[in-house]
Amino acid sequence: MGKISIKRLEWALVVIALVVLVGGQALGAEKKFSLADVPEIKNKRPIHVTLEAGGSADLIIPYLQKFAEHTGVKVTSESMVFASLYSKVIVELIAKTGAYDIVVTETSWSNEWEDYLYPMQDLAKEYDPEGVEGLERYLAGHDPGLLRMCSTVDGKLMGIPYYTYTLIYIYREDVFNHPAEKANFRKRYGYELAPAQTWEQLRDQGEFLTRKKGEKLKGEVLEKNVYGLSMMAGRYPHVQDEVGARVWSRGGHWASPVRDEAGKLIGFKVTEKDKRILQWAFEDYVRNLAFAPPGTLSGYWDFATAQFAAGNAIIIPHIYNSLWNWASSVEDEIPGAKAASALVPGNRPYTGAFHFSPSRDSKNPEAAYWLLKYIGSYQNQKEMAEGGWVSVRRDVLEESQYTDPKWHRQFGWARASLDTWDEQLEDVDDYLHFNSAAFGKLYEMMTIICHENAIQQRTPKESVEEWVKVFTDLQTKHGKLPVL
Amino acid sequence: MTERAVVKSLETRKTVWQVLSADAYIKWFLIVPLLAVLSAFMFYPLFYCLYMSFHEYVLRAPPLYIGVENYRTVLHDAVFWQAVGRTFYVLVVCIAVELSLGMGIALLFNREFRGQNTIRGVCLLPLLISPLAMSLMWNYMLHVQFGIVNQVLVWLRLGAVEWISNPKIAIYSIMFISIWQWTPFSIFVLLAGLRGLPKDALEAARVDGASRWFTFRRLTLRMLMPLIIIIVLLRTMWLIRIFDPLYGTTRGGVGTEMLDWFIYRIAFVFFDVGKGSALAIFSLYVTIVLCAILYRQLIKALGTAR
Repeated sequence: MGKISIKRLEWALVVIALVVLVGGQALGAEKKFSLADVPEIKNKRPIHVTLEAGGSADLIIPYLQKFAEHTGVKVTSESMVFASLYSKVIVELIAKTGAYDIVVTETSWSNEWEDYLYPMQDLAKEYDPEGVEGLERYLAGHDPGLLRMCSTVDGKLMGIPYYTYTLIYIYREDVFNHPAEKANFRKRYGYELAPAQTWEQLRDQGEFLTRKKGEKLKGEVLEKNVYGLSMMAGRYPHVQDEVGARVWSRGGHWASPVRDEAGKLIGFKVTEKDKRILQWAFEDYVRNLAFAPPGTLSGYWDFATAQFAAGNAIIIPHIYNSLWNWASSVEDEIPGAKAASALVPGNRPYTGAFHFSPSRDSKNPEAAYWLLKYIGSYQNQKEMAEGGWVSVRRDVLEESQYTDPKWHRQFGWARASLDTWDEQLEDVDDYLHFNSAAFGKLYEMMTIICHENAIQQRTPKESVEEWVKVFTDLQTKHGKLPVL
Repeated sequence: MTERAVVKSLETRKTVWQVLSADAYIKWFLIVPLLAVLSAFMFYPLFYCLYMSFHEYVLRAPPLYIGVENYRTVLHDAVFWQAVGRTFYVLVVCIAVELSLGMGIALLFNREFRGQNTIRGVCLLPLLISPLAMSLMWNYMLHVQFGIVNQVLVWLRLGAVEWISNPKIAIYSIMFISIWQWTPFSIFVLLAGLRGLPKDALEAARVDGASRWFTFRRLTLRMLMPLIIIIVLLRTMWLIRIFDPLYGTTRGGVGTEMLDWFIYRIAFVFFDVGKGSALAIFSLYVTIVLCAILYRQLIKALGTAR
């Protein structure tokens, strides 16, 4: 009897422990927002959404339809290429045409478009039964650095990020791990061949891996020229990101923020330190071009990725993580090839994201708010990520299952991106990109200056002088804060 | 009123139609709709552009009158003058090549040969393709590694050329794209001219023993001069506004930025409406001056060719 009682007691304790454990987990785990949580939307007016054409942006369209089916609010969309996105949308916003209810906003446009977009906090107060606190709970799975980039100087969140294109370093792991290549590199440079952590190492790697037809790579005779680095020096915004990665990594700024004693931003200044670092960045960029394939001077991301995917280049030192899927297709193209990713040298590359923002001229801000929450939700981003989407949510990317090799082609970019976000977090607040209301215009001018430096139309020193001149002009004309 | 006065009054009272169709009014009646359309879609934007060119206007705040400051800024801008210089270089080279090629091919086509209709039809094709689509098409065909042009060159062991990405070559690639598209225009205008030349004059020259070169230079070319000037006139207007070949290829990079791309960048990327308007007015002014000169030449040539 005594034995039975003890046994019963043991069972009872086990059951109680299980109940406490499972129940506790259920109580502790935050319920993730999903489509089912979108409440009845009173305003049934259709909404029109801009999308960035190309890449995997089309993946989002089925989710717009799911939202329409669930809520009864018709959702239409309009895709436009990135090059024309800014010009088209800004005109509609300024003219208050109400053409778009939700617009695609690049993180660096958040301050510039502030006057034409609803802050998310305002919409949460108006339409969300859980209010601003509910919105904040929902945003807990997002990256705080990315959220800062989608916000104004004053902390108003101008949309919800849904797609990232953080720069990462993609390389041929099979080449880096090849014994002969490793040994030769160590012999020549005196250290191990591994993903470059400094710009000097990158230059060494570019030089080492640039081989002519007839030379050997991994012990095999090459049938074509192979280049160490694949870059994007054409007159597109990407060349600016490549130069900018160098500037930020050395603690420089395109223009440094000037703050008052209370820490409030009061203007910008291109300091002497900034000028020195900018000049070095321009010089270093040109030096690296010696190891890039022909065509680089007019190339952009498609060129750079194609070079890697076709086996013409061994490293893409700064490429958007959204291109991982394409870049890793080198594994299908070249027998034995293996792609891997790491942080860009210096750990401070551009960390961009698109966020969907509700237009102030929307006829249905209520539906716009809920659609944004739905697109940026955990469940949605997870589904999309598994289909090849470049999710912005940390809670999705950090799931341990995705480190399994079977997810390599979908998530091979994730760790490098998360580490980049962590590294960047403390600096985001100081970058001109996320503080100037003139940045849409500055971006274009940076592009031109970086490109003209790359084609050596100007010397690095002249490029810095040109930047200071146009920055002063554009910031004064289009910005809200002065150049000091 | 007497009966006679009433009859006279009825005789003199005219219907609206009679008034409008009278010689003194009919021209105005016919021209008013055109003037209305022109006013709405041409004169209004033109004068608004002129008005804006004297203002600082970057969309964020109402326009601010600044006099001729935008023009002063533009005229002191080195990038602007580089763009103007490149535009005129491209203009001169393209027109010279198009006319030379156009004349040569038109002379070849001005005879009967088998398959003439098919070949002429094929020659017309570049004109029918959208200029933007064509610039994208050439961008791919001239790609340094994957483009068909370099594939052929490599196959011939001539080596690949950086058509679009070499700063020394890119401007010529842009010219080539434009020439490829617009040479058929010269061919067919000149061919129509050749077909319409008076045969008796050419026959008389032949009977008098004039050489082919002499006949071409002193008769054919002179009689075709009005058409040549029309081609130059139209191509000048179009080439000052050259844009599409850049859009699909270099986007103004690699040292190929020209006047219209510069205007586009200022007006529709920076949204500096005032400066963009001043640039547009400058471009229009240059076009008008050039066209006025060419128009005078055309009138003279018409007089000589008669």
